[in-house]
Amino acid sequence: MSHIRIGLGEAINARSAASAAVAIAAKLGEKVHLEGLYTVTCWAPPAHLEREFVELRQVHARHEARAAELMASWLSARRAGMLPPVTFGRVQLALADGERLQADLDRIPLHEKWSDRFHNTVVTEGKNAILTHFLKGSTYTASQVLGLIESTGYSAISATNTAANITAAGGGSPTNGWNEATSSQCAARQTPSFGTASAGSLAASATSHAILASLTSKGAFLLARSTAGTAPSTTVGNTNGALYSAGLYSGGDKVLSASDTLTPTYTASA
Amino acid sequence: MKTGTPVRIKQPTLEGVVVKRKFDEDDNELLLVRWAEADGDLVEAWLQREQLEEVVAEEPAPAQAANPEEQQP
Repeated sequence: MSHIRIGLGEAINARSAASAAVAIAAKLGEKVHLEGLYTVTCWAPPAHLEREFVELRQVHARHEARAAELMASWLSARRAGMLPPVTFGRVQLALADGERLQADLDRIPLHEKWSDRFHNTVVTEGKNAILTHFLKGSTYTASQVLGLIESTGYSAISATNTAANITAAGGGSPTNGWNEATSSQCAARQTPSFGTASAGSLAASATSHAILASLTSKGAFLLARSTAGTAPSTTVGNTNGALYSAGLYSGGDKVLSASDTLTPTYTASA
Repeated sequence: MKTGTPVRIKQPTLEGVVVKRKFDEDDNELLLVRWAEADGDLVEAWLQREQLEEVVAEEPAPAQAANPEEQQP
């Protein structure tokens, strides 16, 4: 019989050292808890530049959508070994135009309207994806996207929420209990970049979400590659991938307008 | 497969296009790469420069590029 003392005076009795080790692992395992923290800041241009900012951003959004179509067409054909319907030069030209439009937007100063930090629910689908890829997978390329939750039809966030049940149509009874903000309110989900994990925590840099129409936002969600290996998409309403987490602003709903920009970050902890 | 069969672990070859660039807090160059998955869906991820290598984007031969969209000014 082994008698091993762990933690704050806890003791485990086992018939062998191996049994004791298993018991300790199980005990420690119970303490592993995934959680996360969203930090969202809202920015807006000064009043006298608001109209110019909104118009420029609408042009930029239309251009981004067209550039994405061109690239999708080129990438899909190349992946399938077919002749792309557009030249790569045209794709590069669209990207360069987008950079110029973004530079014009960046010249307009923005001031902070508000900031909010909130914890969230790490859902079962996300936990399963992490465990599968880390403990079982043979290949994994990280891919996450961050989206916004709107107020229409909201009832609750649940650990049983999934990516497959995401809806962005503004319907009254969404299966997840919440709807994603529509593409006319926020053109696309955004892709975070995670830094270096330290002390059991891993933070992403802020993504930038241009608000294109008035929106009552409730919070944000994060999608990751699914257990089956399917990556999430930046397309609003797309149901690929696995839902990792979803959370609500701690200070209540946020009413956003067409000149606002949200910059959420996500910090995952275990 | 029988025991002793030489095998290779399947790894996806991901080829895409750099759509944005930035530097993180530690001055690492990060590139937002967009690519098509096996099912044709477009996905993207920020990757470090060291994780990538350049590939040649083959252009179609002039005779093959006769696409109505390319004829537009």
